[in-house]
Amino acid sequence: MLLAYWLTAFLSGAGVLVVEMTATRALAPWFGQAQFVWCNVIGLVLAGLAIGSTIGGRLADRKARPAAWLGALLLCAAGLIAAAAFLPGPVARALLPDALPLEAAYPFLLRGSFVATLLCFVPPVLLLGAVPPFLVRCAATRLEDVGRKSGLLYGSATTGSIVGSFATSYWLVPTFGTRGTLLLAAGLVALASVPAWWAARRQQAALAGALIGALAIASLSLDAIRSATPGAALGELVTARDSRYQHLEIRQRNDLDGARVLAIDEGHDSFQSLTPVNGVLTGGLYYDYFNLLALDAIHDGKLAVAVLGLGAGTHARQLLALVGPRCDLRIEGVELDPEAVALGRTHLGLPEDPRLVIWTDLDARTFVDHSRSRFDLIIVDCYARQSFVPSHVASREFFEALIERLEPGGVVALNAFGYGAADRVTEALAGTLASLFEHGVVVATLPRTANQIIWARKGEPTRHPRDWDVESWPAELAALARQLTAPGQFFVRRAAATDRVIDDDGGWFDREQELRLSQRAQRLLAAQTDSSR
Amino acid sequence: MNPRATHEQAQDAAVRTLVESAENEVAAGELDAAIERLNHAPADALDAGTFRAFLERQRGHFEASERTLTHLLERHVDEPQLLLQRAYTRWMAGDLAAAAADFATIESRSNADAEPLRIRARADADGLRSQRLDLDPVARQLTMLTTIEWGSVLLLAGAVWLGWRATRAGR
Repeated sequence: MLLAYWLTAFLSGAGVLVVEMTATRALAPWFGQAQFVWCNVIGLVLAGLAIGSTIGGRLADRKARPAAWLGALLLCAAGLIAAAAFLPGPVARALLPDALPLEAAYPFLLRGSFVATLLCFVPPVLLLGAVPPFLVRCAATRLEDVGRKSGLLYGSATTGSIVGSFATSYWLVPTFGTRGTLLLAAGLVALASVPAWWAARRQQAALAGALIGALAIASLSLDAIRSATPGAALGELVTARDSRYQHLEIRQRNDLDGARVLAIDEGHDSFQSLTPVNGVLTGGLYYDYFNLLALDAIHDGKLAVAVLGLGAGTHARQLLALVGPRCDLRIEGVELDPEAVALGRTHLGLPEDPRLVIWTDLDARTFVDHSRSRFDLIIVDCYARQSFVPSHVASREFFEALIERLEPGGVVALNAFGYGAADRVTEALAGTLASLFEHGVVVATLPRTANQIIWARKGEPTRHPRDWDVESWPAELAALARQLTAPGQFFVRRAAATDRVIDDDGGWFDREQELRLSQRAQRLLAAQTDSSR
Repeated sequence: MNPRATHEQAQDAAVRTLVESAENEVAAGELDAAIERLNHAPADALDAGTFRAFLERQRGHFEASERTLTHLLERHVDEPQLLLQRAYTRWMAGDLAAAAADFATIESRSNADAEPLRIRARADADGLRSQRLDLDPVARQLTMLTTIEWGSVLLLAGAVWLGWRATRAGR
């Protein structure tokens, strides 16, 4: 019987970790995967386990038939895990307003993920927390072997948790999706109840547990179970996928003249790549302006460009169409998530082109550290969580490595999201880059967007929009360039003694980004609440 | 010759020189230097002040821009051009209610000279209103989220308490 209890401990331990790790992914289409979401999930799951364990311990001592209680606990937990597979969508829809703008989203993501975890995932974990005390009570029949048997059972549960955590990340979620993974966990926990029911001589209940477990596992064969659940991104859904990194959707946006966009995780009104219905330019979004820097960077009829943070390939598609015909072009694109590139190929018109080499499953930092190529232009467009720049791709160390990859006179150009050019995050990025270029950097505020482009030239004064030879450029790009020459639209920024430079230990930079989002949302919503009183 | 008029003319010429130099600096991308230069203009000089506030906004220093414009508005009461600039600054800073108030003040002007500005303000105010209307349900939902948040915490705490009591009762 000890072997059966050992197996129960293993399966319930695996169940806890599968639920915990899948919870964040299941909430991601609505609340994202920010550190605070992970914090809410881990904190509440641990709280559930602690409470469950405490109450379970007291109950286990007092129940005359602990094996039957154990079976019931596991079967109820299985039912709640199965419910959790379908609950995040309805719960999130009840918590979040329709068409939530990213600017005002912060409190909803922070507090909504807390409530959603509490409602969807804490109940099953609370019951699973009560399982170990019951297992010890069932397995240890004599006081002298309590230590050995409880150690064996806890060891087994921990081993199950280890297997659950690795399997969830590397196999279950990419293969079965979040809903399928949770149903699999429900099935395994239901099966774990069988030995307990058997020990309690409740054969019918054991059979029911086995049947429910088998049914839950069999449901994984259904496409509808394995398919990704659409989330909160704006627009009409074209397709949704869960990759091993994140949740991805292609949406058609009527507010953007029917353009198709790639939205990642919670998305809301934000997007990572865009393909308009006609042409390649996006109507003045930041992507368009990088073509101007590319045209200016053509050197002896040649141009080598690296795009770090390729997404579904908007930059690459534009460069191939607009800059490609004017020079001998070579592009290397780096994108962590291969699913983003796959969706770009199938839905956003990213072409197979011998001039374009794409590296996937590779972080931009790793690429820069290990690539041997040299470039005339490096575009840095590395974002997580819509508007969050990971500090390891914004640090002084990163930019130093980037400069090594530039040809003499080559240009590094960053897309910087920010509320104005003096936004603390934009200033930190500009200051960090300026600290490495003696002639300073150029910051251009793009009309009608919350984006700035910051660029600098290796070893030479950086050319700004008034230096560009736009007369020979295509008319639509020349018109964009002229917009940047309006008074105050760009400025040269040099390093200052007061600059706080981002380094690889960029905790303060992460905090600045959190504060920026939180304060902006607070300001917008506070004004709204005041005026509606 | 009126000495006061001569002094004012000299002052106007000095301000014009400052603005022209600042314009050259802006063209060369030296925005911070241009703002610094315009700081030397008299506080009530309308053209220099408006230009400085515009550059401060472009540079992203919204608070400084608003301060400059508010200061100018004390001397040039309800000047529609200044109000319009301040509305844009406040809008970009995310202070939508204050921006709407400035647009409303411009719209209420009856001066015929200000008609083109009123038309522009009306169009911008419409854009701002739609943004605020979008945010209205968001603000309401946030209030509801707070209620649900506390409700679910209390629910869980209640369930734990009941569980605890049940185990005590079984003693």
